[in-house]
Amino acid sequence: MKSLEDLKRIREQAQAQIRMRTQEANTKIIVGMGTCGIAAGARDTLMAILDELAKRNIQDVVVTQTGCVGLCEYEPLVNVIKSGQPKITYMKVSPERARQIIASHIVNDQIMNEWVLSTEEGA
Amino acid sequence: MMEDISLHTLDIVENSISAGATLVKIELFIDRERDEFTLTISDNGKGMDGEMVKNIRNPFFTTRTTRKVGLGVSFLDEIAELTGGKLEIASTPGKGTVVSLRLPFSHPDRPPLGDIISTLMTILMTSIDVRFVYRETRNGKEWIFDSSEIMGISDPVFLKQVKDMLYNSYKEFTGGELI
Repeated sequence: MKSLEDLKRIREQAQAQIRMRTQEANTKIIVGMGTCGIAAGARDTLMAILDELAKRNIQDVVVTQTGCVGLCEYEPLVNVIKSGQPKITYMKVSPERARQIIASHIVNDQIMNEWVLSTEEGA
Repeated sequence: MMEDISLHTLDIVENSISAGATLVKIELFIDRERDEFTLTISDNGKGMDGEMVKNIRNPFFTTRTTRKVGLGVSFLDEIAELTGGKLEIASTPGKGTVVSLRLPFSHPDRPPLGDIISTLMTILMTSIDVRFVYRETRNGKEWIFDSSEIMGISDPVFLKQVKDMLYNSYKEFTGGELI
């Protein structure tokens, strides 16, 4: 298969702009990926987050995951942590909601209050 | 509920990652003529003892403390039972775990494969320190993805390029055939 070569090529091309995890990213997005999250559609939510970040050319956001946190009925759960701000947990994040969270919260600092499950200071 | 194999694959790999695995191998072997559809996921995580392996098929078993009910592996057990297939779990504490689900390809209750590329991208994005290898053999042809070339990168713009490339490469491999 050719793709290994292709991957190397893409990596080389992107090298200049790539941010490794060791660098401090300003914003972290954490998606719940326990069995409950996956069953509720977390994978599609994550793919929408990826698409939307890439479309907007946002490179300094780290997307990561967490397991089940015992709030299965609110899955897919998405946490947004911007440096110096409280951790916001969004509930029932469909791909559409995820795209809007990127546009409002990540880009414009406008929290989507109606989907917020909890806010945690000093996270 | 999880309606396809690619979602179950993600769920099982998440177990591997929770078990501290640094290497996860996912193998899908499909052979229409032999009526075979076999998914094998092996990891080098902390493994399980015999008692835990026995319990893991039980839907009320979990290692989590946040919620009392576990479901992941018991879903696979149910699929195996429904289709006359077989689920095998072998594990060695300190060494790792192998989960193998063997199903008859043509059985009407065998779940479809689903969007395996989204599953691979999810693992790649959210567990960037874990090396994983996906190998699919479909009627004698083989497609391999090894994350070692690109792991450790969190840049979404780069990852989107990887996703598009994988979709194209995989589509070339399958010829667009949905199974």
